[in-house]
Amino acid sequence: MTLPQALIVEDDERLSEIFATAVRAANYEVTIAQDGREALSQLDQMIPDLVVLDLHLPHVMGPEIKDKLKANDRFQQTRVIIATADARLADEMRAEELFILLKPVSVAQLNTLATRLYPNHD
Amino acid sequence: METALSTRQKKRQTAEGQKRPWPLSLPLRLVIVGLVFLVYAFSFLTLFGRIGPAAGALMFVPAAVSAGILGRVWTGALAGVAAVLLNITLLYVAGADGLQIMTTGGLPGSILVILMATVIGGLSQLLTRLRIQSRELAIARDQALAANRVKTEILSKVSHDLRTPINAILGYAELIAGEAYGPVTAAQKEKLATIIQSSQELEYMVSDLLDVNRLEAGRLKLQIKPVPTASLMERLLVIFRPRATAKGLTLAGEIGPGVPAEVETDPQRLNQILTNLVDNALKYTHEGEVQIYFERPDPDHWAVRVADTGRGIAPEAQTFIFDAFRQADYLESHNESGVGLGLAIVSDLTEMMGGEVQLESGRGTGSTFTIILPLQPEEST
Repeated sequence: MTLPQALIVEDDERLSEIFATAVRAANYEVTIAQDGREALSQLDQMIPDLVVLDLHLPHVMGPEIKDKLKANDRFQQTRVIIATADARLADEMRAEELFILLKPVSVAQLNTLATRLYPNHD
Repeated sequence: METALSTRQKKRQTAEGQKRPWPLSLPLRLVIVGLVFLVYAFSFLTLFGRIGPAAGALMFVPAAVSAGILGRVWTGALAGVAAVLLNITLLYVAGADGLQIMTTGGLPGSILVILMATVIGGLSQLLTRLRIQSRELAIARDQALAANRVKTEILSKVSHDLRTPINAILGYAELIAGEAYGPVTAAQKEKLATIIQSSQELEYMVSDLLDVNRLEAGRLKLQIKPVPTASLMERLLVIFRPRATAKGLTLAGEIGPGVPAEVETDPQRLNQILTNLVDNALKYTHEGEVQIYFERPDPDHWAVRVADTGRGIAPEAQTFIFDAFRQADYLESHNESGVGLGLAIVSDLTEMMGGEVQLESGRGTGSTFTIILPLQPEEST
């Protein structure tokens, strides 16, 4: 059985490991991108079911990636969780239809949300 | 660096403000005054042929204009004297006889012109001083706003930079406790729980700092939606009951008659208010109980009352308990933990939601905080 795909976009290696473990525990197959450019290149090759997206990233910033995901029909089914330490940007995005987690994001919190967003989850 | 620069700028701007209260330099103003007198002399000689010595009655015009332009009491008086002297000279030159000179340029008229010019000079001086003060106030206001912007930016940056390492501490502690990296003993799990709780406390402090900052900057917006009151209560009991039990305290929750099943509110901000109040109540209560009670004080409002049997709040502290930075000083001087911003946030958020906070407390008699909120809040401020 093929597992749903999750893309973790996070430039801090410690956090990408923590987030990946939390999402894997929710039964996703996880790919990690360490910067914005790598994330875009991964998105050319895959259609993830879930993206966990940091906002401050090298090369290409998170909001740009989020906008590309929203604008492209290929990613219509992709759910995006914003995991950011930038409270100001998080505030600005609160009005959008997004799942926003302000760091520190606990493993339990991310795991619960990833489980809730699991494809075909009741 | 920033402060030194601002101080220098302030000194320079203030000095400029004091040196140049007028947009025109003194020599230029003297030239203008000279021209005014010249124009008056020319007009006098022209008018003298038609209306005679009565033309001299116009001497108040150059006196008033010059007094206003020169802008001091004494220069006003001087301008008045100059106008009187010029007038007498002009009358003499134009061929007026002694009686005419006495009548038109005489003592009562001259004194009146000199007094008027002196008063105008004084008024001009007063206006100039007010203009300087207003300019200094504007400079001080700009500096205060700039300093506040710097503070906001620093707090935002500190908050942002602390969140990532806190996340790493919290995340790894959770993963280790969850045995993601191998078996963990019960004793190790207990210590890991302490690390997790400590990093969460650290996060609350960072959040408090940031929220005070956001509230001050007016950047915090409300997102009003219907929220079940039962879930608000349940959340508080689920979060805080283990801590109350561990301290040997009773944590009781009750929803009183008339409280709607759903209230219109910003759940995130309301939870923040309630979390802060219950957290404080548990922190400062060492025996007895903490009660959370939802009630309906009147048809347009609902309220949350958090009552504890703690040691209470001293009357002198009650006057500033909701003041962020003064409370921080007080807590530090009384060896209390925390950054002391929780109640400031409670107060500001409640006010932002159109509500009010009430406090009843006395030394040794416990504290009761009541948050009264409108049932129909405004969308956002």
